Amino acid sequence: MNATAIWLALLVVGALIEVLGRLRPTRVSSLGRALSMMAQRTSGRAILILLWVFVGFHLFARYTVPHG
Amino acid sequence: MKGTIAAVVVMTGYAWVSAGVAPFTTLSYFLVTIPCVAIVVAFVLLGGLSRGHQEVSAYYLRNAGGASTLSVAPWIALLTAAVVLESVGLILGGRSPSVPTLSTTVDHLLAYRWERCLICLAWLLVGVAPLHGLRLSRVRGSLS
Repeated sequence: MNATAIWLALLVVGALIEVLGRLRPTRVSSLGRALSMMAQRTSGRAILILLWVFVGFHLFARYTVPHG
Repeated sequence: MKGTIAAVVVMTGYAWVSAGVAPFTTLSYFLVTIPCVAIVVAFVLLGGLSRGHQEVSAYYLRNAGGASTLSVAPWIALLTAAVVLESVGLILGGRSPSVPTLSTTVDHLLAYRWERCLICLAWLLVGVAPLHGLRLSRVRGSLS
């Protein structure tokens, strides 16, 4: 099986976790709450910002349009 | 409300311009650097990276809404699976057709300018969101 399908499956699982987090907030955290939990520490906020900067450069300054 | 709409319009325009620039050029790096610097500086000015601002931690504590290690476990499991898949892809050379890395997979979404524009706009909004939240919180008097 092509791993692209696994990436898509992970995306779907993430969406399902998000839905669960909104339906049962006491048992599962939504992504926003999970990130807020991480951001309670200064180091967590710094890591999130670095990740955001990395994503920006990787996606918009260093992307490669696939051929074929 | 008008300010928010104006900000979104400006960001959409910026995303459209950025999406039209060829990658690996000085201009493409410059166009990504500008929002990075602006948002990081604004975040620092709001106390986002200062250990002394307990109010900022309190703001995120409120937003976390009682999240615990157990309740975020599904996200940790998902992240672990993604890291494993990415590692396998990298071990296989990064451009393997059977196990592509996340960036190789995402590259397919960046083929057209409008796709890059939408993703760039989403990226900008994600960067601006914490600034908006912290500023609103400060305006409402939760932060001093």
